[in-house]
Amino acid sequence: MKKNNIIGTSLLLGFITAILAVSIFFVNSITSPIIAYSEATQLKFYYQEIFPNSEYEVIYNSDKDKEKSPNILSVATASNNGEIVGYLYLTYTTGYSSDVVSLIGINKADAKVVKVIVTKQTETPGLGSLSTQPKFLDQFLDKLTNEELKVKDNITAITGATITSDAVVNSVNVSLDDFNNNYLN
Amino acid sequence: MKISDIFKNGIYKKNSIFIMLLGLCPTLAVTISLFNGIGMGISVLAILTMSNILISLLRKIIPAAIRIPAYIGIIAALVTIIEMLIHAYIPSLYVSLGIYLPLIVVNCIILERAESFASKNNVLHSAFDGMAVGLGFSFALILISFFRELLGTGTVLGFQVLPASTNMLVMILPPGAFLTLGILLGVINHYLNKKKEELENE
Repeated sequence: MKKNNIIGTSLLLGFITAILAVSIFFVNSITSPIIAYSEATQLKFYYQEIFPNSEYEVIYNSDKDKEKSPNILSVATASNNGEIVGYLYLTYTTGYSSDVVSLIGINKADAKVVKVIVTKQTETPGLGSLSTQPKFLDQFLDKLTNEELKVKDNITAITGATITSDAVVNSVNVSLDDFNNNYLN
Repeated sequence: MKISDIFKNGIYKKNSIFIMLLGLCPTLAVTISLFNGIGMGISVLAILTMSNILISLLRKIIPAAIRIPAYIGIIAALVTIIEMLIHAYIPSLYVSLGIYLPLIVVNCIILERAESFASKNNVLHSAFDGMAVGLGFSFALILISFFRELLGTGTVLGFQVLPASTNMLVMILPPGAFLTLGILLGVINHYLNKKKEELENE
């Protein structure tokens, strides 16, 4: 291949990739606000399910803040008439075949778990996916935050999905720990 | 070349999965539910058609020496765009396809069609070829995921059809993918061989 030929083809390849990059930038500028908006509304919907009719404020976000455990994605407060009633922990742990993201609501006054919701998972259908069902999640209700939760001890695992069960239990434990250290009065 | 031949080749004569055995990795991995199978099939269909059109349009501009990086670049850009669109408009599909959506970039069917068809044929034929091969791929995914979902969880698209007692969990686990694909390949090849023998005997 001749020298100017090499330069020519390199420039052409650079030109093609530049056009591709610009088109990706263009699509991204359209879709990224939609993605952010739908994720925010989805989370707000889950907040409502745990602490209905409250005002929510995100006080910790792992995108900016790093001091908490890396499993904690965000922490939000729920308040009624300006008074904080509870904390909402969005956490993730690695399950069997995916990251299991769960939202844990803790009541401030009596330091008890209000509700646990698994918001995102792609575990094995029929096994790990049962972690989203009330049968498993209702076991966490009213657990005290100073209780160490453990599969087999005080939580019954999902049959055939011990790893997923462990993942959710770990998420809850991380949240309870952080609550005890920072927000318990 | 006749358009009907392009469709015949893409959909069954040279079906990318059942005959050519190309692109098996996503086939085995995502077919745990019919919803996934349809979603993956349509995504590949869209990307394949668009990449065939673009590569066919650019076939006289792109010199032979840089054709592979240029094709991969075009395919990667298309996949990224489709991924962002699915994330924005069908988040549930985005979550369930997971890593296999960006991995369409390295799906060998798409590069194979670019290299062996789109770079040598006009835009119209290339577009039809992309659609035909994509349809063949979707058809195979739908067939595999239908059987796996039905036998594994007793549902079709999430609706319970078989009682829970008949569920064979292995069908939605990785071994079930190999079993289903193997049995389907066996049945299809048996049928094709029979047809061939009949033709030879005449």
